[in-house]
Formats: sequence, C-alpha cells, structure tokens
Amino acid sequence: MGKPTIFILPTAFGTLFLTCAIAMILVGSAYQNSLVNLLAFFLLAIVFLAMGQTHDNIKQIVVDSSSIADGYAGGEQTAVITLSNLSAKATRYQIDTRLKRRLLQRFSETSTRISPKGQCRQSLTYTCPSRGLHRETRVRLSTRYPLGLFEAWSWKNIELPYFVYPAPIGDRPLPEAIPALVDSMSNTFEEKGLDQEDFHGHRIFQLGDSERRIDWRAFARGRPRLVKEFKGSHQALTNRDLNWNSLSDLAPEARLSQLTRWVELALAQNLRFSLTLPGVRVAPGSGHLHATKCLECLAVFELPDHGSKLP
Amino acid sequence: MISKPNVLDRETQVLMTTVTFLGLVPLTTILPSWIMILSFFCLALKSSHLRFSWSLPHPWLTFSLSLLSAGYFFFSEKDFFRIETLATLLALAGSLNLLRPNRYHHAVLAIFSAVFFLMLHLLESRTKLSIVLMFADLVLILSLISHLHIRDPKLRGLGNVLPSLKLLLTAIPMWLFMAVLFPRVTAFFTIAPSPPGFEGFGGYAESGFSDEIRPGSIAELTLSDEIAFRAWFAKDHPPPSLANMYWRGSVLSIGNGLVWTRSPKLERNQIAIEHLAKEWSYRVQLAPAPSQMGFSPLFLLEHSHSPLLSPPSAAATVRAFQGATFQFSSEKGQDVRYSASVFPDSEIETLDEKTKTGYSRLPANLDQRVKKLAEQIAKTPLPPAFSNLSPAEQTAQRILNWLSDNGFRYSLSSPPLEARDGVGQLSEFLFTTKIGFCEHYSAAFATLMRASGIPARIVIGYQGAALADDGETWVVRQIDSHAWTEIWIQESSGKNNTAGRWARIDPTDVVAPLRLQVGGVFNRLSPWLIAALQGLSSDEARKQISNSWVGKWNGWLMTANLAHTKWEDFAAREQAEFAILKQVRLWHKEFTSTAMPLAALLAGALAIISIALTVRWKNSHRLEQMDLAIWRTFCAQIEKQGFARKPNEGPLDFSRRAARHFPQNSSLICQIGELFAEIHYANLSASERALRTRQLDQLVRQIQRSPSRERISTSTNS
Repeated sequence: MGKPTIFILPTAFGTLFLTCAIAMILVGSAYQNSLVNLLAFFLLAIVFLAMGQTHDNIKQIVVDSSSIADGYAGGEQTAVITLSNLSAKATRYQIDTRLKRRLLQRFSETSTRISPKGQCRQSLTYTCPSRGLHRETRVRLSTRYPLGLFEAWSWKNIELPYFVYPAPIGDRPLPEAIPALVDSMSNTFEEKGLDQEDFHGHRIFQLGDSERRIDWRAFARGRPRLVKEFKGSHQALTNRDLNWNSLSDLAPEARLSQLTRWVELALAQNLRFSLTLPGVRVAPGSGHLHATKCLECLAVFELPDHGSKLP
Repeated sequence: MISKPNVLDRETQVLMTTVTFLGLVPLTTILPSWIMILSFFCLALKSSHLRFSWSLPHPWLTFSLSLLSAGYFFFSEKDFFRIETLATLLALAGSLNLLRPNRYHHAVLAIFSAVFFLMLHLLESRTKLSIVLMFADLVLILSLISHLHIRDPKLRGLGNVLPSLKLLLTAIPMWLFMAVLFPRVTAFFTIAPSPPGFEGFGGYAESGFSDEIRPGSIAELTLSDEIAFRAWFAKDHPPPSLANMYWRGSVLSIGNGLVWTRSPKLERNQIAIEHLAKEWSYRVQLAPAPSQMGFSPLFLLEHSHSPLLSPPSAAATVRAFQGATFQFSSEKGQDVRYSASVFPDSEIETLDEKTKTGYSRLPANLDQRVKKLAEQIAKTPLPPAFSNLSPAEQTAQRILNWLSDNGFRYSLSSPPLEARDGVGQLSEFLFTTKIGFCEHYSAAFATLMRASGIPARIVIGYQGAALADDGETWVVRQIDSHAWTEIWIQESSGKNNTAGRWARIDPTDVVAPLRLQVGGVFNRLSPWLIAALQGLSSDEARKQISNSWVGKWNGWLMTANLAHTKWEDFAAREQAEFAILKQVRLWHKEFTSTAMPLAALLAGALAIISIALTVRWKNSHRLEQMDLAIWRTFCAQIEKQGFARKPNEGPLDFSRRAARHFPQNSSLICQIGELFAEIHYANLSASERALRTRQLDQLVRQIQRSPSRERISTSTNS
C-alpha cells in the first residue's frame, strides 16, 4: 500500500496572514526598517512552520473501522468512524472527518486528540440520501491544527454498505388482522386463555406493550421493564398483510412510504405481519429481524442497481 | 467551517483585549490624543465587561460612536499620506472592534490590527525595548491565533502561551535564514538607503556614497539594485547618449594612492546658486544618502561651474561649493525634487595658483617607481592625430595609451591588495595585479596626471541610467555607481594665465568601453556574454543584453519601480493639494456657521437615543444573562463536589439526579432546577422573570451557605 496523498492549501485566514506578512516585507524594505523586516520574516517563518505542522498532523492516521446504521430517507444518519494513530511518538490533534458527497455533515461526537498508537471514535451525522442500498466509499480526513493557517486533507477508502428505508410517511390505519391459517389449533388456545399460555421468556418493554404483561417483580428487583412473552401468544394467531395492491390510489413512492410506516407501527405494537410487493413476498412474522427484512425489501424495491446486491 | 467557533469564549476575548492594549500603548506618542482617549475608553469598557460582567454598550451606540469618530477623523486629518493616518484609522477600528459582538472575524480583525500596531511601533522606534515588546506581543498574538483554532482543552487556557513561545523559538532558525537571504533580492522598492547606524543590520548591504573611495568601495555599491534617483528630461532637451550620461556627485581632491578623499580646504568657498526661473533641461527626484553633517551630494549631469537650479522644496536646503559640488539636506530625510539646467560644454573658469597647487599635490611617500613611470610615459610618442590637443590632453592620452597597452583588465572582483595604505596599493595595482575597477583606474590615472604636473581630481557619482517602460523616466541605480577624473586644461600657455576649464576623462573607457556604453548593468553580465558582445555596436550590445536574463530581470525591476514612482508622484501631488478634501473643507467652512448647531443637535439626539436604547437593552440583557449565570454558578458548585452535569442533560434531569445523589439537600436542588427551567424556558413577563431570578439567586446562595454543604462533600467521599 503506497502512502496516501496529503493535500494542503492555505485557509482564508492563512491567505490573509500571508498577505499581511508580504505587505510587511514591502513596508519594511520601502522604509528600510530592519525591525519591520524582522517582524515580517517572523510571520513568514511561522507560516512555513505551521504548514509543516499541519501536514505532519495528518500523517499516519488510518481509518480503522467504521459503521453506519440503517436509516430512513430524509432523516438523519450517523456514521461512526474510528481513527487510529499509527505513530508511536506524536499525538495528533483535531482531525475532522467528512464523507464524500454527503450534505450537512456535523459531528455529534468530536475528538480533539489521538494519543500515539491510540484511537478515537467520531460519529458523524448527516442527512440521509434517497432510499436504497448505499455504499460509503471515501472518507476525507482534514485538519487545521495548529494555527488554522492551512488545511491539510487526505482521502481514505472505506467500504460501508447500509440501507436507507423509504421515509415513514402515511396516515392510513393498519390493515385488518386476518386469522392465521393454523386453524386447527386455534380453538384450543382460545379456550385456555391468557393465563394458561406457556411462559416463553422476557423481552425489553416497547411502546404499545400492555402494562399487564410487564414483569413488575423483576422491575422491583431493579431490572429494566421487561415484558413476559408467551409461546403462541394471542397475537401470533392473526396476521396483517401489508399489501402494495391495497394502496392502488397512491403514487409508487407514497405507497412505499405508507408500507414503511405500517411496518414501523406493526413492529412497535409487536404485531404479526407479512409484506406483499409485486414480485416480492415476505412471509408472516414479527420482531426486529422480520421488520428489518421487510424494510430492506422496501428500500431496494424496483431499484435495479441494488436488487442484485442484496445481502 | 468546523474549526471556526461561532462565539468567542472568555479567554479568547481576554487575549484579544490584551493584544489590542499591548499594541496601542506604544503608539501613544504618535496617535492624536482623542483617539487614545477613545481607545482606552473602549478597552476599559471591554475589560469591565470581562471582569465584572458589565454589559457592553448597545450596538447602536457603538455604531454611532464609529460614525462620529470617522467623521471627526476625516475633517481633522490634514494629510492622508502619512503613517500616522494609517495608525489612527487602525487604532479606531481595532478599539471599536472590541465593543462589537464576539464572532470569529472580530478576533481576526483583532489579530491583524495587533500585528499592524506592532509594525507601526517598529517604524517609529528602534530601541531594545521595542524588540522585547515585539516578542511579547508576538507570543500573545500567536496564543490568540491558536486559541481561536484549537479545541483541545489541554492545549487551550492561558497556559497556551508556552506552545506559542515554543513555536516562536522554532521559527528563529528559519527567520535567520530568510533575513540573511532575502535582502539580496529585495530593496528595489525603495530609494531611501538605510539610516545611519543601521547599515548591515539584518544583513543589508551598505549603500550611498561616502566622502572617499578606496579599492572596492564602488565595486561594493554596484552590488545593489537599489535606486539612487530618478530623472526626467524636458521634452525640448533630449537626454545625452548613455555613454555621456555622467551624474556628478562629490569631488575628491586629496589623493593618497588608491585612496582619495574630499578636501575641505578646496571646497571651502561656498558659492551662490543661480536659481532657475522656468526652463529646465531635467528634473530629478533624489533621496538623501547618509553623509557628513547631514548633507548629501546632489547629483547633476556633467560638470558645470554654475548650473541653474530650482530650489528643491521648502524643506530642503542646498549649498554649492567651489569645485562644482552641490549638497543638500532635507528635513526628516525626505526625498527632494529639483530641476536643473547645465551647459555640457563647460565654461571657462579661473583657478588661482594656490588652488592649482592643491589639485596637483602628490602624497609625500609616493613610490619612486610611479614618478619614474610618469616621466617615462611623458616621453612616449603620440600619433600625429593628437598633435593639435593641448599639452594636458596629450599627457592624458599618453597615460591612457599606456594603460591600454600594458595588459590592464577591468573586473568587479579585483584581487585583494596586500598593501595596507593607499600609496602601496597603487604601486601594487600598477606594477603587479593590473586588474581593477573604476576606482582603481581613476585613482591611478589622477595620480599619474598629477605626477606629470597637471591638476587632476576624481569625481564620484553615477554613469548611465535605465529608461523605464513609460519612455520618460530614467532610473539611476547603485549598480551605475562610477568614479572618473577631471583634468585642468589651461586656456593658453602663458605663465600667469589662470583661466582654463575642467575636462572629464574617464580612464575606464580604455579597459571596458562597454561599461560606459551600456551602463551599470555591465557589471552583472557573465564573462561569456561580455565576450560575445565584443565588437558589437553599442546599440546591438544593448539589445543583446536586454534579451539576456539579466536584462529581463532589470526590465522587471524597472516596471515594478515605475508603478511605485507613479504612486509616489501621485501622493506627492495630492499631499500638496488634495483636491477633494480641499473642496470638502471649503464646504465645511461655508456651512460651519449654520450647520454646526444643527450637527450638534443631531449628535445630541443620536447620543440620547443610543443611551436610552442601551439602558433598556442592558436591563433585558442583564436579566437574560443573570439566570444563566446563577445556574452556572450552581452547576459549578455541584461539580466541585464531584458530580458533573452531562452535556445532554437538561436542568430538570440534572437536578433530579443531583437530588438523588445529595439526599440532604434534595428538595433545595430540585427547587433550583425547576425554578431555572421555568425562568429560562417559560414565557414569563419581565417583572415575573425578575422576581423568579431573584428567588433563584437566593436559593443558590442558600445552598452555598448551608451547613449541609459539608454533608454534601462527606456523602461523596463515603
């Protein structure tokens, strides 16, 4: 691997500073004033030193690991980038990170120094691009340390795929629940009622969960609010089909948005649902994994470039 | 941008104020007193803002203050082309800048005004204290710069002076390198040589004529590209050819071998200057060179016993001496401009016997070989073409012939002479080394002439000039420095005849005719270019030279210099009569009687409105700030007990968490959090807000005073 190219240019402030130094040299020689020249040369020397220091400050910095969580189109996306300082002696200061061609980037977590052989994590928030499977390929590291006279930057290659789901917009109610196909057993469960269901395990409380199902005893012991889960709970017996065809009066993107909204709602209420899109069907299910699968299908729906790259 | 802070923190503001203060203090002597009072008033306001959290004046007040002072500055300033004017403007901007909101660009302005304050101070004063001040100021300015751009808390803070000091010390080697290297290619924007006592400081070449020549003195001058003066010729008086453009400076009449000096005795008699009424053949702009008694040589074309001179300017005095040398001195070392007319065919003058002896005196310890040489040369035959010349001219011709026949060479870098005195050096040059520069040849020639009994003297000045791009400005540079001789030619051979004339003989012509034809630039040409130029006509040679890189560099220098000249001309003209300003002053005078009361009324009204606005703004502003200040005090109090607020925590969350942590004070802490949240976020009326703020203040004071404070600390320890 060759050394990465480091670019360096003076900032606006640096240009002003340099101009000031040159003007001072002219004044010094016009008035034949050696002290003014001395001052001007000091300013120049500082410019040159700062140039070297800014350049050195970005040397031997590598992107160690990075991750981006999936997000919704138009929402905010956070990329977490870990930088490593390979130098065994020098501390690096104020390395700023930017993703290539992403708008409105800002740090939600900044770090100001990376000690020798150390690491730092930066999380970068920016506006999500349009839906689909995206890939961040380049990250720009830049620094203006120590005097802000110069900005040095270099580009690092990364490989960071992530999904951007359609924006969850839509005010239609969830489709009606349809009894599941496993009819033969349904009656027996009905008779048993809630209390007789088999205790299956705990999961973290989510908005929309019934208060009656919270394990208050566990909560009293200082544990977070947990919800008791039962095998074959009542809701599991019904299924809501989130169907593309049921939204025929909407534009395609609006349909996707509405479907995404439904997936969100169903997940929040821990409902059982299936997703039907032209040519794609996700079988009934519930829980995060299932929802993620549905959302991914929605994200890449009818995007020919991404369809084949689905993980 | 990421690195730019939106609002400056307190430490940056402290640094800004300090840097401005440190820049302004040394300028007290050159700035008008009203500016100083205004500046220190601004500084005091800012300091009290930082120290006691007093609020700054309302932006409108600052604005009207700037407007008023700018107006006053415009009317009171008589001369806009002085350093003091720049200083006044900068001081005004720099100090009013402190009263403005604290954004990034205000800090940038503070940085640059501090740098320029420093520069102005250095232009005015050159004491050891200035250097100390410069370093101190630079350290603070650097701290301010890094403070603005560094986020790391460990590198910030006032301890940040140390890294700046380190940076400054690291800069020293590079600074030395540049300071030594740079002056060799600079100094072309100036016509003013270094002031006395400062030559050589920072590696500058010494410039300007002194009152003597010795081997190497003119060769050293020609190393400089610096401009000596500029001249313009009248339209109906075409300039002489380049080879005949001799600018006479001083006359040296005491010969001591290769060392020649001026003779106060021979120049004793001051003569009257005939003033030029209207016509002039050329005009010169000249800067004074350091010289004895504050007088510098005035350069005139050709030798003329009585040139017509226009008085340079009111500030300069000119004196003329027997021997046709002119000197001037000007106040504050300003440039002088003068016009002159000369008569190239120098007129007849008289030289009494005593003076004649003075011009023929030989050094007492002159080498016998030189005397013998003079006798020997006098015996050499002359071609018949020279037979109609006067005896003095014939002698001169014989000496020139001898020089050209005996292998003498012209070189800027003549071998060093071993002899310590001028007489010994002369013998060494004539009989051993035979390589020299114009000062060697003119000294040798004048001595040989005197040894043959003919009065002779050396003239130093400039030979040649370069025409700038505008086609009319002739620029004479140190590179054109030259020395030549003048010999006395008696009118008739009568014993008691004192009438005669001084004729110019330039012995350099024999060894380096090209030097005179192309001017001083010859001294910069490479040996192979000189070789290539041999045998060419002077026009062709000049063309060749302007195509060489030396010529191109010279051309560039001329262009750059011309722009500078134009500006100086403009400034000089405007300085005398700034047309717009004059008009404005006229209006000002006319309207003073009626407009003054009106203006006073307007200013008064403006002031009252601004003050009223400020008071209102101050009150609301203070209340706004107050609750936040009290809350911060409270948070700091809690933090001291080892319980810090998380950055994402709101006041309610924090107070609840803190209450749980300090059960003894829980109700008080909760109350403070709720009260602050109410003041800060609820939409309260001003009176209600004031009431709540006072309550909050009391509660926080209570928690500071409360005996349970110790319990707070014990609870954290346990």
